[in-house]
Amino acid sequence: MLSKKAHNDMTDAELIAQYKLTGESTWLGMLYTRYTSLVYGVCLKYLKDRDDAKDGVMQLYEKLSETLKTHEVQHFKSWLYVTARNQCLMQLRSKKGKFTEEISPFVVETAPEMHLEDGTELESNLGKLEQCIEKLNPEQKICVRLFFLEEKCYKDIAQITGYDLNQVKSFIQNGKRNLKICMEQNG
Amino acid sequence: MDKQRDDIEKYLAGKLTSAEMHALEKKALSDPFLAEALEGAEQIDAADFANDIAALNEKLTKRKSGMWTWPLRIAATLLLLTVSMFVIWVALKKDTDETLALEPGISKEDPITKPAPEIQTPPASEKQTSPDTASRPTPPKKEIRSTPRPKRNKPSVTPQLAENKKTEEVPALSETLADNGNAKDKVSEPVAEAPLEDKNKITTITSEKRNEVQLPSANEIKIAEGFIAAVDARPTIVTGRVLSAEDGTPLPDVSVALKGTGIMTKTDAHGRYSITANSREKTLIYSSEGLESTEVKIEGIDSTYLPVKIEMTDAAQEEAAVETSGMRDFGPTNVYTIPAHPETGNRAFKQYLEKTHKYPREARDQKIEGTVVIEFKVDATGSLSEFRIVRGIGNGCDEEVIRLILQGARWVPTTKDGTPVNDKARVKFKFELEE
Repeated sequence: MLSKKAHNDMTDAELIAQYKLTGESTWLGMLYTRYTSLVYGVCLKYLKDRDDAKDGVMQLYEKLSETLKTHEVQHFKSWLYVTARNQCLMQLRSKKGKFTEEISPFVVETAPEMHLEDGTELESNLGKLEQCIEKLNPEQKICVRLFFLEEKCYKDIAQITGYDLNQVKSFIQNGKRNLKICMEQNG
Repeated sequence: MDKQRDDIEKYLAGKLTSAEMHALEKKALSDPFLAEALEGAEQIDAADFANDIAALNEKLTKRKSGMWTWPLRIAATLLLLTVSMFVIWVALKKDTDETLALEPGISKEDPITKPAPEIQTPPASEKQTSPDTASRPTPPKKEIRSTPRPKRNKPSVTPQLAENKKTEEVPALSETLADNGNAKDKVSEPVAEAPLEDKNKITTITSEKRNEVQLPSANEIKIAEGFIAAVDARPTIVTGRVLSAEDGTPLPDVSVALKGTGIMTKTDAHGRYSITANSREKTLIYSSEGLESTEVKIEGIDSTYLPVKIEMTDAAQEEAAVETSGMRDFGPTNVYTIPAHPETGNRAFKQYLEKTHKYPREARDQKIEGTVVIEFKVDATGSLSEFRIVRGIGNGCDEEVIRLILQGARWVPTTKDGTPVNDKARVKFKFELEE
């Protein structure tokens, strides 16, 4: 057995391999607890209830202990994300049958972008970036500047600009998307 | 990793420095998993969140299960298989007398735990002494005596083998092939040539089990849109990509399996996959946890490119307020499409509609309730036009929704691979009178 420290350094894939080899749930626990807060957070987002969300986390773990034995999971984190999300949506759906009124017809938000390289791409060409930032609407412009160039956090930006946190968030998200579109058009 | 966990807790508790907060926020922008988790976590008290996580982790690390026999058994079988294959292969190459000495030895030793050699011997002999063996069950020892001759001239053995398989059953064939793919790294190529038959019998067990797990029957959630490009006829390499029909994002870790065989692969982070279909089975099964598994036939296609479109049955989709028609007509190319949406996001837009709408007096007086669906064009610059009432309830309600759309947030046009294009969008709104 390796030392405690070495365990923390192991990659997800190594932990999965160990779990498959030995079948010991310790490995699985080690792997899964790396993501407990992410999974719990996602469950909270969809299920909106602490107990339901906790159940969700445990259910997913059970599912995992079976699935990992037989499935070849290459990108554990993204797989976990998709699985967690789907599990929650499924639960919402089965609930919906019983309490139709509880869920508004607006549950869905446009899916988050999956491009992981965005950030670096955006930063690679500063000159063009400047031009594109200029084209943003005033709210997005100031928030994007503060966030990407001055590296302020949402809370600080909210204080500086006087917008509330959610506004700041959406200005940055949309600003970023507009920037990306702008960069690609000019590139 | 552990660090990230703590970070979320600290972030929520406001214990991070501004720079650290910024770093996490930035990460969340490109990591939807983190973004959603934060969004969810923000809904409850930071201390509660930390306590819940601690409780969950304790539960998770204490869990034990004794399920280690199964994988071990498989590993052992594979190992055995490899060893016996090798032994047989060596034996086949050598003189016949030595072969005789080796083979019965193995099968006698453990008839149960080493099924490989036992099963292997009868079929091999069946081929040569077909007249008498066909009539009655085969006691292995006797048959082995008769095997020697044909083994020398290998060429003549192989065609016979092939015939045998044909007459037996097709499934057996495909399973063999399946195993070929799976165990490739463990069994050297030449081995696979001669004792095909026994291999297949052992691995049937494993591949069947695999199939069971591989196809979850969950009738749920968004379904994939797949594109298949088939190349060549014999060992066909099928490549493609699996995208979510809901939003066009690539779906990672979707199982793509060749029906009736153990051949399967997974889509990578970009939803891409490539699978070798070297049997007669030409049906692919796409499945993933929580997705409805979907079968697609690739049999008899003569073009090298087969666009596959699968209806979505997403719970969420049914409820989606903002739909975009552009999503449904994906062309045969892999276009990364982001449908048109309000700049503020759908959720905020919904809240805006709920807060700002004025129930038309006429409708209120007549107690009219119901859902209005409006379709409109969002052109590449984001301007809105061509409003059309898809479903209306009249009495001013339809017009009210159009007014709300026009006066609401700006719209981000649909983008295909980053280029804004003209597209249509729909907004659904339900008028309900308060009690």
